[in-house]
Amino acid sequence: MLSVQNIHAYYGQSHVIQDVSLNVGQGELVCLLGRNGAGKSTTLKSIMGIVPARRGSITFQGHDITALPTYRISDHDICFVPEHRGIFRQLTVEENLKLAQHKKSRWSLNDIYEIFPRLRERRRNGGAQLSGGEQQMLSIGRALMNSPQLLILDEPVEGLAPVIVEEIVQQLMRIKQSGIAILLVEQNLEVCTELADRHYILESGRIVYENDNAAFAADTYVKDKYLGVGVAE
Amino acid sequence: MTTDAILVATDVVKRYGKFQALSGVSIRIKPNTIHSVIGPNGAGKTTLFHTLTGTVLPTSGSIVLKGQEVARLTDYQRVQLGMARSFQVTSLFPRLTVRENLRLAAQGVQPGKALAFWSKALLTGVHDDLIESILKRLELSACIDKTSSQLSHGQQRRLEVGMALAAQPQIIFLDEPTSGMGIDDIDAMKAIIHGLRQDLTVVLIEHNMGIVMDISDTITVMQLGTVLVEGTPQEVKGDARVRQAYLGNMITGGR
Amino acid sequence: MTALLCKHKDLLLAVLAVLILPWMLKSGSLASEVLIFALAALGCNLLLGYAGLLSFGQGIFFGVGSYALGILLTRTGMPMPAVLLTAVVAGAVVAGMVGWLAIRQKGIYFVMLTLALTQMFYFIAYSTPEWTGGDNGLLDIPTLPLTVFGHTLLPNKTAWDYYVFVAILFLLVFWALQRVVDSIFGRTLLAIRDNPARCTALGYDIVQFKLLAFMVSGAVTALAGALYAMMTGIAPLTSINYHMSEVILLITVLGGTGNLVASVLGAAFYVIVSDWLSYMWPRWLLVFGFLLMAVSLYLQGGLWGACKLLFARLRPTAAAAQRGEEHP
Repeated sequence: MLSVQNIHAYYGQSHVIQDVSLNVGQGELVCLLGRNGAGKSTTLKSIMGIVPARRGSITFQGHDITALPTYRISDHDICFVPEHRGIFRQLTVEENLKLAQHKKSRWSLNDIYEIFPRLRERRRNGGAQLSGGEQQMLSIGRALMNSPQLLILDEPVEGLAPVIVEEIVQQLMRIKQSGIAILLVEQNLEVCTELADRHYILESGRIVYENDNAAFAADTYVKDKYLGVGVAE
Repeated sequence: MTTDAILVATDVVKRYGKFQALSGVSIRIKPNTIHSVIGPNGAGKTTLFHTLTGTVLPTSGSIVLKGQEVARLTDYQRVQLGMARSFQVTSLFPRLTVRENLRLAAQGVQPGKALAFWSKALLTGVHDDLIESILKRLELSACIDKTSSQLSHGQQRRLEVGMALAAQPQIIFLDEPTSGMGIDDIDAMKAIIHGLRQDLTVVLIEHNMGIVMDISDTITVMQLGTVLVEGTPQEVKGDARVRQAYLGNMITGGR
Repeated sequence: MTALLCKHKDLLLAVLAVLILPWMLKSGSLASEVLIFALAALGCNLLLGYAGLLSFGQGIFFGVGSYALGILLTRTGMPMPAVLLTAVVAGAVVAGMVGWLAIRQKGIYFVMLTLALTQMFYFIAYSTPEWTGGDNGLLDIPTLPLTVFGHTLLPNKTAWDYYVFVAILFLLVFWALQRVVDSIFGRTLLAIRDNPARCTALGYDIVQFKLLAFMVSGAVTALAGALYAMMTGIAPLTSINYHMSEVILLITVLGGTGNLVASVLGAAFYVIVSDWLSYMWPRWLLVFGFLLMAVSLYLQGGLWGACKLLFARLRPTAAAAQRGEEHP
């Protein structure tokens, strides 16, 4: 579905993403891993046109989305849930969700409430009155209301309590089962290995590893080298 | 050669309302070493930096710099005592030239002179040697008259370090100095930081393990507001608890 | 010679303005008013353009200057120069107090605090008629000649005499302020305005710098207020009210905050145009409202910015040559 080929991205003249290629197939959940500063968020922003790729190409379902402005990219049914949520604090939960609603959406308000019962409980609460986890759920729910075919999530469970993390993982599982493809950036290995079909690892702006979930889970060397503090000699 | 610590922090606590960012952190920094602070997200590394440099005052705890208690002093007061820092998000004076940026930084440790309101005289000449030597060290000599907003991202990150150096401190705190840098710039920065060791003490927050493991003398690993492990790079790499902190999920308990 | 001229071009422009005004205007008191409000705008510009402080409290200092001079001239036999000096010092002291209260607050809270303090001082002036004449204001303030050791330097009998007096003081203050903004202190203020977090991390006590800027601003504004009171003969309540703060800010913003000469331009524009318009239309303030909007939206450099743009368009070679000189 999503095919990223040999992209290069820059902050000003700083070459931060170097020759990155990855793809996400229909119904797959793919994880992008790496330490802080590796370039994971920047890669997502390149896909979404926030930090446009200067070289290489990005195609989604055959359409070239490389140089498009962000709002056009989301027209292609790609929804991005950024780090730090970005929900509208002045609006209620229900208003936040309804904003994203449109006629062709296969998800109704009730469908969202079914996946996220806490949101139904808090439907009249203002965005600012929610806990971190609830805000995250709202953010994901709002993205779903847009009826995406590809959902992109940037560190959705960072900073959340374990109980909430478990909840959200279950909810993401359900979303995956409904057929939506998901590209997930996450540092929490537990979450990644529970959900993903395949993994990529980024280091210093380059892809250094790609494999399916089973192989990755078993590979302690790779985990130490690229995600931990390095390998002891 | 003395092994007395240049900076000793004991039981530093920082609370923001109900949230405890630092829960009793103690750290000893030895002079003329590179001391790195690492840890997964939410560990409190930047908060620790803020309390040590005075950007934010600690809720409680003691911070002793060269034998003097500084925990209740503000950052501008601590600068006068030999401390300086750089920021993770580049914070320069965009409309001023590189020379002016550094002049302001160098002037900061002579605050009395900064109040001279009558003549331009002190604006030129006084800090020229210092500025030139810093720019040479950072390989920015060619940029001296450009405005800082005209520099590339990598050059700006180097100037960030330069701003801290201009105060001629004895201990310098660098917060993710290589953040956002491309690969070539990172190697240059690594060499620069390594070279600082001779003249001063460097405390470093970094995520790039290539740098941290190669140049650090001591590494403090933090996690959820406390110190987990402290030791040499070899010791830290082999420590199971550190591995668990990064790879296992300390929150949900991992594999 | 041309290098010398260029170095002091701002001061020369100020001198030029001082020389042109009597030629342009028929009324000596109108010309004096231009310079008086230019002084007030200089004080405000120092805070807004250099220290980055949007103060709605300038009326306080203007009023303090007016009242100080009024009280001393009507009740004591102090010589006029000493009275002016006292008014200036009073302005600095009150500014120090206002600054000490307000500076620790940031952004919108700082602005609101200065506004609240203006209202407070207004109320104090209103409720102490034994000092300030209350609603009526202080009346019958004499315009005294400038005498030194018995010799009359300036008789200050006619409006144009007084203009000379004001012009001399204005040029002295302009020159002094120019030196202040070009000094290390002035450059540090600019740095504090652009990036205060970086400044504290470099070792600067920001509060101290802002406080000093406040006191200089208060001193200059109080001088303006004192000169105004001596010219009009009264120190009314309107010298210390919110509207005065507003007018001073308006002049400063209209003129532009990049440069001291801009304040002279703004004051000249405001005083002359408002004098002219007020004869024609009772709702003339509306025009200034629109002008302020236009400046905020399209011409953020103010009138001075507009002049620079015009100059660049008309004399592209001269402007390029100047640029060549500045960046070798």
